[in-house]
Amino acid sequence: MSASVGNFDQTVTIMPNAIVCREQTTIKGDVVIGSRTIIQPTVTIIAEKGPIIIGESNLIEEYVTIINKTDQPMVIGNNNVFEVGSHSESLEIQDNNVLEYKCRIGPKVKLTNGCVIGTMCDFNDDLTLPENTVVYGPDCKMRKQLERPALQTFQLDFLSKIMPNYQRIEKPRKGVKNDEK
Amino acid sequence: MDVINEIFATNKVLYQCACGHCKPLTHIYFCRYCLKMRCKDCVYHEVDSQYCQHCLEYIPTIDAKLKKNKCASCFQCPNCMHTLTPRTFLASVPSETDPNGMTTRKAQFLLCSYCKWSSKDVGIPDQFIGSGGWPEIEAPNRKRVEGLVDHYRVIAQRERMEKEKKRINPRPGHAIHLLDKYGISASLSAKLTESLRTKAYSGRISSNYLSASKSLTDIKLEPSLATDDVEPLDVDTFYNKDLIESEISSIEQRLMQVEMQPNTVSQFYPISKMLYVKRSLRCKECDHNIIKPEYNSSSIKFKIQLSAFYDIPEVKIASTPKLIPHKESMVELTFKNPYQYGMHVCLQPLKDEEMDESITGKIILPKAEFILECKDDTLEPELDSTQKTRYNDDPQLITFRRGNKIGLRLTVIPEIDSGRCRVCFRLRHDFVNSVVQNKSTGGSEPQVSWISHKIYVDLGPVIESKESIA
Ligand SMILES: [Zn+2]
Ligand SMILES: [Zn+2]
Ligand SMILES: [Zn+2]
Ligand SMILES: [Zn+2]
Repeated sequence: MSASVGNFDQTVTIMPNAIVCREQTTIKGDVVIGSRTIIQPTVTIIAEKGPIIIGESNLIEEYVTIINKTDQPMVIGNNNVFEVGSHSESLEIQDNNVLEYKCRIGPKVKLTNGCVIGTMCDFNDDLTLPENTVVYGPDCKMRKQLERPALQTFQLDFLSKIMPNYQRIEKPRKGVKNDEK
Repeated sequence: MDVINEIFATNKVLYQCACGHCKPLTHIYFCRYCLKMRCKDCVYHEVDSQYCQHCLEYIPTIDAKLKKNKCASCFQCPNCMHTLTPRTFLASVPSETDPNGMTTRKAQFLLCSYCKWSSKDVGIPDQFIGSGGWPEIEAPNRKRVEGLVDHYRVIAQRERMEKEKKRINPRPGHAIHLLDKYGISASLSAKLTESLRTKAYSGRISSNYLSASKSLTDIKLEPSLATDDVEPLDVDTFYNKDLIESEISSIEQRLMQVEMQPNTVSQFYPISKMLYVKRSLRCKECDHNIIKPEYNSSSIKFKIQLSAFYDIPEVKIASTPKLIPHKESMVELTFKNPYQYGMHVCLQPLKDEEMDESITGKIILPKAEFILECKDDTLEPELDSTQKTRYNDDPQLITFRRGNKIGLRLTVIPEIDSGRCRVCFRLRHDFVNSVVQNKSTGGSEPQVSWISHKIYVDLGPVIESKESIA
């Protein structure tokens, strides 16, 4: 039972209107989750040393892993989509980016705005991706897209209405800093 | 993928086709009428039908030719070759009834879900639904190429007429016109096309005279001229400008759009999907169909499928021993009968004149004949304990017998000091022909014939002895 109700540290801050499903979700360390962000079940977010700050209206789907293994803060902006099974160690993800299914980005990569990391891409170059870059294919080829990926507003609204009917939701709360104890 | 290749496309055991080529069993056909092996290099390939592999639409041959063998509604991404998906949205357009007002209309653009390339990227205007598809772009050399094709068609027709005048005793009706349509006849041997042509055109010479009467003078074609003028090399673009990799197309991308060959990404245009064909194969000796697919383009079944793995015993290597040069080793081979009748099998050594350099080992074959039971899907081999006693198997030779499968232990002597050890033998077995009935018995009894196949087995590398290295 304990595994199914989630595993949250006292240090986790959840802003009002954020939807964080508890089922098999693990959030550890100094993590801030912005309002209107949706975290689906089975997500793992771990701040080992440096904090993780997640902005507003992000969609984080099942089996996503976000890990900060460094001392630096990891900042994730607004309106980003982490699709099922994606794995991110990137310290800087600005706005409107999409991480597609099962892709993997390492700590050296930085995303600006409107970037897409394609399905199954394993990408760890020491690189800041310019706006609207698409990374695709097994060789992680890159191209520039004309338009940003569409906003997931409809999906976010739909999920935030329907999720509380079927999932236990972690209530908004203020995290307790370790040194304040 | 490796496992699948190991099973279906292994090159360890090769069967020699009647034409002399060696292929794995899965790539070989068996003509039940001539009782000979056939491979794709020694059968006629005939185009049955064309279809689009994406929307599975069947396209009649005449239409396909007019449409340059391309599907009108499916496109692939010029950037990554993935299939493009049409995305529909509501666009607002000026209303027809009210000059100041706006209405909405369904419109489409093409998007690649893989690399996110879209028709908007290169500024292709969105298409309104019902406005009749995406416009085709004109290839720069289209007129010239069409002129040349017309020109040579007239020449070819004239030559054909001249030959046909000399013909005697022709027979009507053949698939040669299909071969011609796809230019396949050019790849066949001249003698063969000739004989097919005789059959095909004899009945229609008179009608052909009319269409071919168009003379060469009707087509005005300027001959190509060699010129000394060469465009000056623009050194600036090659050496003095920064190269932006993301704006230049790759060679692969250019070759996929062979009519246009765009240099830059901004010139990309959706590529029409090429049509696929369903082929039937025909035996060159007896003219019977060997492979005939079902007509329906969404079906993957066959009306006729004479693949060898339905009829011919399958040989596999069960265990390879350590192969020491010039020493005896024991190899276990399995033989499996895929056919509905039992088989008597015997292994025969090659005659001296059949030996070739690729054979690097000697195999000692049993004199005795053994029986392979028929394939029986309902049989449970583990439960069939009578099988062991039914055949008086020599345990020294036969390692196991399970249903239609049997294992043989054979002695191999590698005759090389290094490299791979390949052995070769003939597999002779009887074949009960369920298709062709024996005429002498009035068609009631199936015909039984003995056939033999030359089989090459690659046992792998020999162990190089230390003395030979030193
Ligand atoms: Zn052949
Ligand atoms: Zn199509
Ligand atoms: Zn693409
Ligand atoms: Zn035949």
